[in-house]
Amino acid sequence: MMTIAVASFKETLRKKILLLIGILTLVYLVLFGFIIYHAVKDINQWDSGNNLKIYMMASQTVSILGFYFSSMLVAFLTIMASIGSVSSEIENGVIHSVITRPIKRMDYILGKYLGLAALIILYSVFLYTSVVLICILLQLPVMKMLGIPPLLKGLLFFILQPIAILSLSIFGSVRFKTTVNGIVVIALYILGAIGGMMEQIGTAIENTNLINWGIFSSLLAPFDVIYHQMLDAVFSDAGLANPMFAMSGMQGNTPSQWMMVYIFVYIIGLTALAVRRFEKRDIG
Amino acid sequence: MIIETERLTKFYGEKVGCKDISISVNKGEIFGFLGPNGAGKSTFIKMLVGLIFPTSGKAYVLGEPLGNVQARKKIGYLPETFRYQDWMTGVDLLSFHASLYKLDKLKTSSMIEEVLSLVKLKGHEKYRIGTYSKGMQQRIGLACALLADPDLLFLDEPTSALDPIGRKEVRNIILELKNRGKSVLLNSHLLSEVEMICDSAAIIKKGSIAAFGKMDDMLENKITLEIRAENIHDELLAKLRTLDPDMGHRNGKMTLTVKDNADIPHIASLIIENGGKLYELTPRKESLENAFISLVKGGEAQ
Ligand SMILES: Nc1ncnc2c1ncn2[C@@H]1O[C@H](COP(=O)(O)OP(=O)(O)OP(=O)(O)O)[C@@H](O)[C@H]1O
Ligand SMILES: [Mg+2]
Repeated sequence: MMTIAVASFKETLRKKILLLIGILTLVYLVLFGFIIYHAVKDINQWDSGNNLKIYMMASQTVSILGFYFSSMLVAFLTIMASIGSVSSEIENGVIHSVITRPIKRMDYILGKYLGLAALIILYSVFLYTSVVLICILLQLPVMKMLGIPPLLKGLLFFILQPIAILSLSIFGSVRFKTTVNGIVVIALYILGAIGGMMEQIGTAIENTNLINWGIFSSLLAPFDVIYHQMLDAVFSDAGLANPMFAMSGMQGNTPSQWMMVYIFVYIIGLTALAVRRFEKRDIG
Repeated sequence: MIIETERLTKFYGEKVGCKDISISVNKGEIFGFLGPNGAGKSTFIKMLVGLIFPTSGKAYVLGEPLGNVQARKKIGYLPETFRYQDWMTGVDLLSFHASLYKLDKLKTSSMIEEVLSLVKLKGHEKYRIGTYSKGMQQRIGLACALLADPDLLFLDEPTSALDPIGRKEVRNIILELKNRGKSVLLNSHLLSEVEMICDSAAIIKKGSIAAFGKMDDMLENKITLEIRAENIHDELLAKLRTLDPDMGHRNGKMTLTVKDNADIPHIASLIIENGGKLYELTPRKESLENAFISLVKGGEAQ
């Protein structure tokens, strides 16, 4: 298992897509820093009596510009690195000489999972830390109110999202061809984002239909739910309403504990399904 | 018995991959698995190495039922589509496989050296596999298959990309393995090669066994005589034709096919007694190619 994990880690590192993501990340961080710098400058010129509005404004900036876009970057990396993790090796035949060696098929899948997860976690930690550090170094007002524990908790959720995507994508890679899997995973990712929105709008206009559809898509693709859980973890301790909801003037309906349980079932279940499917599959 | 199959069958949906294959391979044997394109040779090997699952039937490899992961420590396999990770160097690839085989770390580097020199890739091991030529890729594949010093080697067309010298080298490697008591199942279209090195063989056609047995037995029942003689007159020719109606005769050269070794001296005396001058009489066993062609003839209309 470790052999496969190390090899898939190294292989992904060498992919051209990683270079692209590296450049994107750099451009993004520079831009983000630039925006925060100017925002802080503006905020400091404002009337300091209007504290709450400032904090709201700042926390929104962090959550949307910082966390939302960087979680998209992480999702992008995850999808690109993993959609072909199994299927491309089947398609080009590399797998033939690998799984006929004395390793269990389960270990092959878990090895792939582990190698990719390691890379994704490293990248997530890097990105999250960079975003937070930029905000702290540039003295964005809201940052002082956030303690270390909520930030760490946020990081855990920040990592959880791509891990959930990874489980889905590896399962798809066992089940489908690379191109098909790419479409499936990206479609579900988008569905998750839309589903989150539908649920919020549904709550706002009190439309149960919309809420149900939102919940349904969140079950298929619970990625947006994890994102909201992360915002909640970061901001709610500081007494700030979840900024995404605050933005549209809604009450934050934070995901239930059951949703979190569901997400763990989702991750483990999809991985188990991937293993089972792969163990029975002909590789011709 | 190092390989034993009982009515091993694979269907791809409705389509036959191979059907009711029952063969056995003895320890220390080189076994040729032959057949026209699409006959099911690769399908059969893929079942034995655990890539695909049989629809029905049983098989034992190294005494273990199919799917035994531990038994694979002593099995080497060179796939028909020898593709390897482009981004690895030759050494990377071999180390990767050594670790898949869970070889002793201390032994790994000497094993790698050994197989590299066996497949004549010394000096290329630092380059990425993506830069290798097709033949070099097949060679590195063979090196991977040999790495764990396997007791049983499955080679699916191991010389399809090799130059004539490479083919001879691979033949020698296979024979060397045999000398060390190893067994090889070889799947190849190069019948002269198979004939040279295999002890037993099976020929399959449309998924089913058409012939199976010791190589000598498969070829023994026909002998072709090449005769060079002068003074061949019509009366003599007529007498020879009674032995083989299809005999060929051109420029004092004749080819005759007989079934029995005892016919050879009979033919020689027939020529001499009838005033022919006999210069040369060479018996040749039927080539595997002829046996193969006559077996699978007409079998291509799938
Ligand atoms: N994955 C697959 N799906 C469907 N049919 C398949 C598959 N693989 C092989 N077949 C069919 O099974 C039959 C046997 O194929 P196989 O690859 O075993 O032939 P082969 O004897 O190795 O031929 P070749 O000499 O061309 O390598 C063929 O009719 C082929 O079309
Ligand atoms: Mg084949």
